[in-house]
Amino acid sequence: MIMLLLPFLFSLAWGSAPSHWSTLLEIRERHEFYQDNEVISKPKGAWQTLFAVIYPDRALKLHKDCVYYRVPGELPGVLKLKAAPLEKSCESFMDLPGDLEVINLKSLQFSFSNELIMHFTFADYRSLKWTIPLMNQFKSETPAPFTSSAVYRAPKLTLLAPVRPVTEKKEVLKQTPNELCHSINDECEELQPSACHQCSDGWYEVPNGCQQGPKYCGSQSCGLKNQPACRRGMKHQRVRKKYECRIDSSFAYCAPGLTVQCEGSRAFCR
Amino acid sequence: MNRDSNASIIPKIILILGTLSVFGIILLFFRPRSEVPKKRAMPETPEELFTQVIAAASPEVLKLWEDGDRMIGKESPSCPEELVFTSQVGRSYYQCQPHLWQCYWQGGVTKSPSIKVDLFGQSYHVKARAVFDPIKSYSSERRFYQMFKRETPGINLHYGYVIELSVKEIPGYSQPMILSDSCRDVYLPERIYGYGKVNDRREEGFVWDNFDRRIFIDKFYVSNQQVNEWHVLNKEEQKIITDRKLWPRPALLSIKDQKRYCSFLGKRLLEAKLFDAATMTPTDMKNPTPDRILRPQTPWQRDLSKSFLGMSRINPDYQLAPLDCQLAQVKGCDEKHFTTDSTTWMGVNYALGFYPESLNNPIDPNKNVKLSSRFLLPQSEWHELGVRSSWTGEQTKELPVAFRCYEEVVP
Repeated sequence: MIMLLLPFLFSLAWGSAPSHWSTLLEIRERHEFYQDNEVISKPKGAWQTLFAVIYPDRALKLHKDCVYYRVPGELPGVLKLKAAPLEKSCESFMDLPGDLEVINLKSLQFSFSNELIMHFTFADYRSLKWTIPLMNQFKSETPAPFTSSAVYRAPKLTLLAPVRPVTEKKEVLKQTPNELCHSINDECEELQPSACHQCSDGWYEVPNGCQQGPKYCGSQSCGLKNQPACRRGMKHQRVRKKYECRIDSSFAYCAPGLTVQCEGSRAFCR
Repeated sequence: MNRDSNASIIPKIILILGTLSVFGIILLFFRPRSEVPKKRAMPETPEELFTQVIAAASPEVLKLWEDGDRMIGKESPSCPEELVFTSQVGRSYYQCQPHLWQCYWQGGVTKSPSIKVDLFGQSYHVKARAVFDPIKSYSSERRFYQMFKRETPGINLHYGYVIELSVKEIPGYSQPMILSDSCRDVYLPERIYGYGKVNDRREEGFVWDNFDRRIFIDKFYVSNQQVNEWHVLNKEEQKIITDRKLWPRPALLSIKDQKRYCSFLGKRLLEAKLFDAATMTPTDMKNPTPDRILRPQTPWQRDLSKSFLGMSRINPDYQLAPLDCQLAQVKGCDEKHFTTDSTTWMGVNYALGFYPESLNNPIDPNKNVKLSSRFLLPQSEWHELGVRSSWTGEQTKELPVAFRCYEEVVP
């Protein structure tokens, strides 16, 4: 039990970022005014919610820590971390004691890019820096030959936080079959970034002559009667052009005996 | 005259030497110096120390996971409940292999398993913890890993293995983490590919491309051991194959279950056109959009007649050499699994020979099985890339059909 609670105990002088933050999935509830690397100086003496961090535990459940800051004024600044249920706003917990506090602060700056960086300066002019990688910023390059999908998608080792005794509402994956997970319109504009990695049983695409077509959760065999056509690509024709489904559907194909029919610019087999 | 000229040379020599010396001193400043590593300060708290020891041990943890086969020396590890070692099974079976992970930490490889880390002038011993529930069909021992299928958003992995590490010298702390299955599949490079066999070399046939697609194909057939994991996750332990000797063998499922298995992991049953792309070596690797797409007849030789398969067709008395069986396991070869001697240009195995393989084929739905296998004599005409037959989708003794999955990741 001690082992589980140790990372969350109150600390006066914390040398490095809390160990249960070793893998942060995302940042939520970010303060709308504070900019990256801005020295937070207003409003003096008041508590502010800076942001919330989301991280997975050993059972792969998601947890949230709210990060508050008392801006230095008459009293020195304080950074406060407080675990909160996922579905509740950090504002509701601001007045409660923190699980971890960094006190005697003269100034604080933070920024998000590929990682969360927090830079503390104490009243005695000591300084401290926390650098924590952000998983949702894991940038996948074009895979090199012989790369595996696991390496392309995520780091080889992902650290998890120990199980925490905090009640939380479990977030579930998008599981509804045929639910749109990547919204692309007929003009090839991405209306919503892909969330297809959240489909529990994979996804399928309806080719529309765009670099990326609209995608849906679930599994469908392409090319069969009344199913989406199969994607064939747009470079094998060796002609640089935009593919208008009704004029040239060579970006898609169907099983023998069926023809590509277009619904808008989306290709189906009939 | 000479004396005068000598006298005038001396100041010049002094001047040159002086200039050279100054130049040399300046150069000394810019010489490459071996970097003196900064001595890191010992962390103030045990938690920070623990974190740093775990970070330092991570490369060795990964090595143990991904290259576990390297630990297998002359003496086979002793874990009969986890693994049965035979010469029929190649080393790839032991890479990213949870049963070898279990075996190692149970003491089946070395008596006191640990990962030694030297940090801050002291040695630390990192160990995995047996904190996960036993899988009764395997053994009554608590597990050093737990396979998961992701059910919540966040981590961008469909499945993986949770482990938990501790450090002997820093009691009271533990670090759970995920090991991913980084050994399973391999990327299909983006280029124009051809599908199937063409009757006339001048014909282009069906061509397609996978630009802007991130496609990853399983290197091997899905094994019984992998299908067992599926059953464990589905809480269908009664379906588990318990004979350890059968675990490395290809899983023989109906086509319906093959699709269900792949879909469960966010993957799809391999397609015929992807199989061709993965096995037909491109003529010009540097040009992804060549004008002509040739269809080689074997992965290792463009013209089948020059290979042992072609020679067997001409000479029915052809004697199979060991190298032939490494390239394509045909009738007359010893049975081996998880071998890598037949690896194709992009990294998959078993292009010809080995097992009949199920392939989803929207281009020719009736050509859904690669028949070339260890059940056919080397002179069989089925031993050729792009040649396929029809399969009912149900397993029979006469035609056991293996399968593999592929995955497409949205960029």
